[in-house]
Amino acid sequence: MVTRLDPKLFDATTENTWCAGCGDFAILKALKLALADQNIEPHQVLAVSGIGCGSKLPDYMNINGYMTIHGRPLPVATAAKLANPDLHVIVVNGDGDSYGIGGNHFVQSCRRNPNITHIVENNQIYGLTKGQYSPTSDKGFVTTTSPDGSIELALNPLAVALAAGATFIARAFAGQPKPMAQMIAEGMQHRGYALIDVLQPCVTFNRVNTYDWYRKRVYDLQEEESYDPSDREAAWQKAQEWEERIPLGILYRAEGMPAYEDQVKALEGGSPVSRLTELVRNPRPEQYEPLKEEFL
Amino acid sequence: MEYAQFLREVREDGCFVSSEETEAAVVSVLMALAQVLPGPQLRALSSRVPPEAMVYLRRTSSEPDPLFDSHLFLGWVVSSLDATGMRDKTTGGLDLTAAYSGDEAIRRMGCVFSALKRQLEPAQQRELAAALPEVVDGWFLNA
Repeated sequence: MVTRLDPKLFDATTENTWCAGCGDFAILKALKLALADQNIEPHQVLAVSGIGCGSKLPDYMNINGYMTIHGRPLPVATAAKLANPDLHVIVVNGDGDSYGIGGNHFVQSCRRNPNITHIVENNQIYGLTKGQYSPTSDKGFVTTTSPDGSIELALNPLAVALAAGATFIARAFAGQPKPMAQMIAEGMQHRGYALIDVLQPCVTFNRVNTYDWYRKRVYDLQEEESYDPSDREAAWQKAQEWEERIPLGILYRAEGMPAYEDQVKALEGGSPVSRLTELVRNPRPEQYEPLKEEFL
Repeated sequence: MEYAQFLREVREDGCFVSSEETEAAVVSVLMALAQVLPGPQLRALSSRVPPEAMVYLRRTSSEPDPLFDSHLFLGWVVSSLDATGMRDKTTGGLDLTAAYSGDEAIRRMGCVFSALKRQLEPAQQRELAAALPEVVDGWFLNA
């Protein structure tokens, strides 16, 4: 009989300060469920975030958490994964943190392919700082910093990820938490960098991209029987869809690509954490010197 | 009951300032209900509301998402509040209206639930409440 952890195991006692009805609640719930369904225990998980409403998420879960400075969770997460590959490393941050301030790290992570899962809470606005337009805000979007409407075209994160070499690209909608939990679980099982861009209404500052706005447009890629997520050209076409119809699901998945940490020679003899653990368990001073030489 | 009369009742219950504000609350609650109610309860409710309101009780997916909870339900209603989320006049200052949007959304939701309950028999009310997510059932029963 297969047992499953109780998602409540991941509950934290910290007071939640998200706005009532925020889409982040659904992401939090889906992540807990995805971890429980995979029987991953709290001590086996590290959530790394940046700055923003969604980046408060590690505080609301009973797991290891690390809040970095704005836009920097991806390199911190990559380093954590290199130090301890046994850890399930998840990055959770918003569209501004991921695609704006951390835009360079996003591109480099796509091509580097570390074995981490990246959940982007994409509400197309900077919510924590009271509603400024973000990299994914649609052209013409009126905010405090774009009173005449956003001038720039919105960044297309899925197309950027595909062009930069990401090996797992998915899009979920916070209004449909169950398929989102499934996508997060599949992203975690993928060996390599997994991007899950979650369309998440900001109920306070984004009055355009609401639950209803998305409900009318989103559709499940699985409904298209002929769609093959391993087809890069098809994924590119789907990544262009917006406004009229918005595809949800796994847009692209390339299996068999080596993860970044698989190719780091310094890790061939084990990760730093596993070596240290071994030394603590079986202290042999003659081991210290070669290890010191290797790392110094 | 006619739709206009239904809206009037909600407006009086909730002291809404305009008919647009009243209708926004009604529509958002109905659309949120459409996301969570199983088919039989959804059909039963549709048969008791004014025909103009039935359109908001349509769901695109065949089954409700089992993880749809009170936070998501509230999200639909908060999104309809025209008192919040407008351009921040303080340009970055504390937006007290946003801080209390949840309480206001629950109050407005209660007015809509109250008007809906008047359209239902007590047994139907209990059946509908039993199909609602945790916490939302309490909001409905106490309305």
